[in-house]
Amino acid sequence: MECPCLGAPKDEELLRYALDGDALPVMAQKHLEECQICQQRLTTYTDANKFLIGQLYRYQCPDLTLLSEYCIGTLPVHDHLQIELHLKSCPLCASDVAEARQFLTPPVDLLDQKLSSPFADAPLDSLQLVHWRAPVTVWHKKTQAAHVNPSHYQTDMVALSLEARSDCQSGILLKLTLSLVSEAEGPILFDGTRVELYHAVPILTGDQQLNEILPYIELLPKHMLKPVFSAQADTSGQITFHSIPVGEYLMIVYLPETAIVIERLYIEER
Amino acid sequence: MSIEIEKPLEEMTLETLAECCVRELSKYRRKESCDDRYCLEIFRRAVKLRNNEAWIVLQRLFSDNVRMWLGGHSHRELALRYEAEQTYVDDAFRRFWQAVSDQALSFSTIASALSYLRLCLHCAIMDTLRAFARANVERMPDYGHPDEPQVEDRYHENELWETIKSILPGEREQRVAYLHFHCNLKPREIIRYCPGEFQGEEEIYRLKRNIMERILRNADKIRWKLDGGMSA
Ligand SMILES: [Zn+2]
Ligand SMILES: [Zn+2]
Repeated sequence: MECPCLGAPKDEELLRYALDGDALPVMAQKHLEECQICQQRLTTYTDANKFLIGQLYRYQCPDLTLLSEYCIGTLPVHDHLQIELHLKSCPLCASDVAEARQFLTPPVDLLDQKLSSPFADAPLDSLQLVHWRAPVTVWHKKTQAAHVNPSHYQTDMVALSLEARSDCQSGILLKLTLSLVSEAEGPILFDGTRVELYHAVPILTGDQQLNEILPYIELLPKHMLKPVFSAQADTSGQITFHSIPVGEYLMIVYLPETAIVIERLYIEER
Repeated sequence: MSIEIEKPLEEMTLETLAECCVRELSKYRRKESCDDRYCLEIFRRAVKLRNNEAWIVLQRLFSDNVRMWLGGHSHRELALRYEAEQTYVDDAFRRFWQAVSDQALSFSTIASALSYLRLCLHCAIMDTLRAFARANVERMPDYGHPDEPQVEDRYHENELWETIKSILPGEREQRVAYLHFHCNLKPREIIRYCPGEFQGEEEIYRLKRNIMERILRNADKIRWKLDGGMSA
């Protein structure tokens, strides 16, 4: 449908008006008020736009509860990865997560002075939200550096080096590099090597800890079934995990004929 | 100054624990060192033992904090246009309760518990704002068109999105379509939210135009009826 009039708004102008609410040139606006053809052109755009936004607006976005569970690292691995993927494409949720993280890390003076929070002067850099198994630190200082222990592990044939980096936007990044100790053993292709991280099994040292865990002991098998994070090595033997919460993990590296198991891998921020 | 505890914490009555909490609170306000064990014990009874009275005491102790956090929240004004203050406070506690019971969370310090409660308040606010943003999108201005479009059969959103992607061959068109239809972002906002992804607003306008032209040309693939609007 075309309008033959000279003063008619161009397709581009009409689209900007319909889709983004940009103003029309004065002449075009005047023309539109009187021209039925152009009104119909506009309706075509606005109806399609309205319908599609009405249907699609944030339909993929997880709700805030899920996003906050993502922030503190208590989601099952599948959900965690799903959200991570979503955050890469959805700037609105990425911004929600950044805001939620900020809310978990109130500025010092907010807790110390302005609020009447009764007992909030516990050391702020060690605020911990204790999961029944692995403590999850919910307090991040932007200047904190991430550490991983051990940072090196070696078998007869394969060496594994570990490095953690802290990024205030996406949390802790854990980078693993697999390499051969000796070429004489023949080539091993690391490409596709699978690495899994599980929550470490708790060490029970006292009655109090045992009491803490007892009520939740029936959850054990369910949580142990699935790794919390998993990833595969690229052609150069590198494996990267993103947004790893601080905590204690059990790591398994599945090599062709054997597996490296690190029973206690500590990821910390200091 | 240390506190003398006559009984082990778990044997103290809730009233005594609450009194100790309040006493520690005033110490805190005088900037003296204070002890959060009483409060953690109330938390333990509320969460682990599911003691309702303990839960009520907790709410009473920390409602003012939640109210103050709400007062300092960046979206406070907008949030209070939609719901009353008390609704957010109640919702924050409800979410907190849900999380500690569903996810078996426990807290080693009061500061961590309060941090989490603060996050729950934030979620209560943001979920409300999202719900109203969604409602606004569904009632977008009609530019003078009197008839509401009739959607004959409600498409599954995912199917609709996949169809749109199939109509748009270019990755950049698909990306802008996502940022426009899914995120409802204007070109200026896209530049702000996704720095470096596009050369400028003009590129986004141009891509939006390609998108709409392709969608209108393929209206038959997107199975909906809009009072003839799409058949043009
Ligand atoms: Zn016209
Ligand atoms: Zn989203």
